Amino acid sequence: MLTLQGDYVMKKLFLISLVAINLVACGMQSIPQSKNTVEASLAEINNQYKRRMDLIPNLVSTVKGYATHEKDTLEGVVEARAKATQVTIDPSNTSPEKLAEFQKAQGALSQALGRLMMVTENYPQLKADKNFSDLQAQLEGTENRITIARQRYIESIKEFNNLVTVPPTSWTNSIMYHHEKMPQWDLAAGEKEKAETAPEVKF
Amino acid sequence: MNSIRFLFFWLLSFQLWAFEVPELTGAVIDQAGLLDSNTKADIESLARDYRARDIAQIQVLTVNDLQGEEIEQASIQIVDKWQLGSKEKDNGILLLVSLNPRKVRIEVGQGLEGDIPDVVAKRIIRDVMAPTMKSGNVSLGIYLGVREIIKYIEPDSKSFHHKKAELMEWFHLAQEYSGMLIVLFFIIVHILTPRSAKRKAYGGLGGYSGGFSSGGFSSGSGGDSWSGGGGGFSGGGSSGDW
Repeated sequence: MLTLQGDYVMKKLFLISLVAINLVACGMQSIPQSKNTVEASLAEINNQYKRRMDLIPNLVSTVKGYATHEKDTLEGVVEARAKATQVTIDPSNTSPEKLAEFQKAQGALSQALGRLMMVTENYPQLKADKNFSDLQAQLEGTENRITIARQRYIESIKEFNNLVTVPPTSWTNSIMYHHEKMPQWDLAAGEKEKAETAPEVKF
Repeated sequence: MNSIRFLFFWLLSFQLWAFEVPELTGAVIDQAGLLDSNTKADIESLARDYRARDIAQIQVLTVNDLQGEEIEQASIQIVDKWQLGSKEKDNGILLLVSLNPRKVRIEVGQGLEGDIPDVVAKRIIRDVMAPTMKSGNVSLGIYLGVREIIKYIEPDSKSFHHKKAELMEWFHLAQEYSGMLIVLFFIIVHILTPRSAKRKAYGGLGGYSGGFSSGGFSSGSGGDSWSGGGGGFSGGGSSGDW
């Protein structure tokens, strides 16, 4: 009689511990995977921004050939690019501050590029130039890739934060990984201001 | 125009995914009624052929409007949902045509960005599709776009050596895997056979020869089913007006 009861208790304990292990195991894989995805997404952003930087020298020299009076605008782009190359990030080791700095430098470059492209509207011969239109295609493609990379990065942070804060994976996190929730990547206040005062094109 | 686009791209990166993606029912989905039935059938059979050979999953989608989004945003949401192209090769292509606004986009999967870089996609739209579509031959313009795309991805145009290299890769993989599988086979047999049978079993296994065939192409084979294969996109391609 005693043995039977003992077995029953054992079985129950066994089942409970199975469930517990299952719940804890939940997230054992997905949390580090999610963290890796966040890192990979950031590396992708880095890649695409670099791709944009690589296009700029060619763009500047092509425009120079036609738009001889736009020295200021061209220099603006060259300077912004130089500044942006100095602010690098390491996806595996970064902080919100470093990211904000990086974003600021790239944002300034985006603005300078925007001004340049606006100026090129006044030079129909430039626009007809095959080299220029190829560069434009590449630049547009890169800007699109940057946009998408940023959206995916934000998604990946959201995923990670969900895993880390929502049970049962959050329990695994408290027991095993102790990851903190990651700050979401948001438009810095300074950027918002710039975006609102950006040059407008009037037709 | 382009500076506005720059700003759009920059600010859009913070927008939510909002586009309602239609069901993937076939290689050509003509919601805007821009294609005549013969053209539609021709494109479909081309798409199936290239899918069967795992060269690319070409998809054509025409829509009445873009639900208020930029075509680039709509396009990436569509391909992310449909996952065109095979997982191994990321060889999906979406040809998206919208009626209102009159825009067209070629969205190129990651694996095909070498064959169809952004510049080529732009040229296909600007030099081949747009002129034809603007002059009223919309159905033809779309068809010509598909044919141009095919020109760039057709493997016959790649060098013989490239093809040979691909074949060699497959052979090596097959060799690798067959070795592993033989070992695994022995281990499993060893574990499963009761002691008494082991001596007999080992005797019979001596005649094993040859490798296993490599795990073939997991392409969307013939028949009526049409679905994405898990292919990835990173935003390559180009857009234009028509």
